[in-house]
Amino acid sequence: MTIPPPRIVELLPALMRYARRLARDQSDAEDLVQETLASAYAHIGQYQPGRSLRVWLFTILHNSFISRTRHDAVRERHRTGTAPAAAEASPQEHSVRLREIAEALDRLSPEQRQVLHLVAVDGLSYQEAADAIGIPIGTLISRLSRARARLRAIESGEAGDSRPPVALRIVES
Amino acid sequence: MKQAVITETDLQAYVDDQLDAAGRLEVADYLVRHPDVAARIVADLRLRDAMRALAETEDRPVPPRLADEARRLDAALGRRRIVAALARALPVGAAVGVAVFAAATWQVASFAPRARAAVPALVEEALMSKRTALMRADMPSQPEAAHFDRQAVHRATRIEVPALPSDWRILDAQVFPSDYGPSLQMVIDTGADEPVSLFAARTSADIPETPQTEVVDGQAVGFWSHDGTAYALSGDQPARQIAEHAEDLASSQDF
Repeated sequence: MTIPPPRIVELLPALMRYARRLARDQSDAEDLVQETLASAYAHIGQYQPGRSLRVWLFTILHNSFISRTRHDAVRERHRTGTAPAAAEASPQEHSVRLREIAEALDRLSPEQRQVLHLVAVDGLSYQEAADAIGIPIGTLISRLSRARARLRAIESGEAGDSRPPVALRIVES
Repeated sequence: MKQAVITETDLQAYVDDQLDAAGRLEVADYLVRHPDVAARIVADLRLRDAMRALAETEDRPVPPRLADEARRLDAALGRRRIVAALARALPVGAAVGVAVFAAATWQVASFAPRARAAVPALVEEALMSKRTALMRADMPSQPEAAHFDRQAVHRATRIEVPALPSDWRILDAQVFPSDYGPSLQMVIDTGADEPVSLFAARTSADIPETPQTEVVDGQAVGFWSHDGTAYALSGDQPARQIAEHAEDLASSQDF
């Protein structure tokens, strides 16, 4: 007996969250999800039954984001004096603590935000997350480790610290 | 006693809850003996929880256009599953018919331009708007009858939609043009359990008039034909249940 696959409709909130973490803006995130769904529809033949729908969609979303970022970079170069898109503010809704976290997250590289989100917020397994981004699992774990070290550094006010934090050293007991 | 070697990977996996019970215990034992590392891990856990809380506070209602798009994708995925199941479920005698039946849907599913071009634009447009109307009907409070016009579907497609039990509600219905005539796919809430999919296509395939049910990959598919139209009912219900539903729908057509 196979477990019925989740419906896309049920995956929408998770897709929105992922998109928001990547795009850092609600309306950009919505556009990104729309693009993802349209692309999935157009390439439905590439979905292999039995594969995780969530990972498949996250992969498409990731790829859409990457190509969109490239386009934006090109467009940005032709613009003058445009401030980089800052995270949209609804500060009164967040506690101070959460706002600090949001600010710290914004200072991570997009790659770091992405792995943290997939694993820590969305609860993907390491293998699923690695598949969704298209990187080896070892790379994923080291990225996670660095992202967390950087967050801790930002938290404790060592934000300028750019040396690679705790690498994958083995901790002997 | 030799202590387990704990790696950075183990520590990350502990934070992300990716270890089994034995693995968690090993890491926890290690943390008890290494307060400095434990403090770091607690900080990571706190960050993880804060990220989750943050994601929740940032949640906004999903815009309707995205929900529509998601439903469209769900229906398309359901269609693929049904066609794949049908191709394997139907008896050998109907193999040629199935090929045609399946080809009709496959073509549409993969957007063969030839199949699309074969249908007058006007009809297609009419069907599209109907589909959109049906999508909007996917709201709990609205009666299905007001939105699903089986006469209009019959006029446009020559597909006769079986009478549905009164407590069934159509969640989604889509008509697809193809070289073999239009096909119809509906997702129906039966009120009791998981929704079922009803697929219908005009075909000359040799499909029995008496419903038969096969289980393919854990999914039951009941299929039958009536007056030049082939029907397939499928869902995640037990085969017995699908067979019963298929019987009911088929017998409603004999009047």
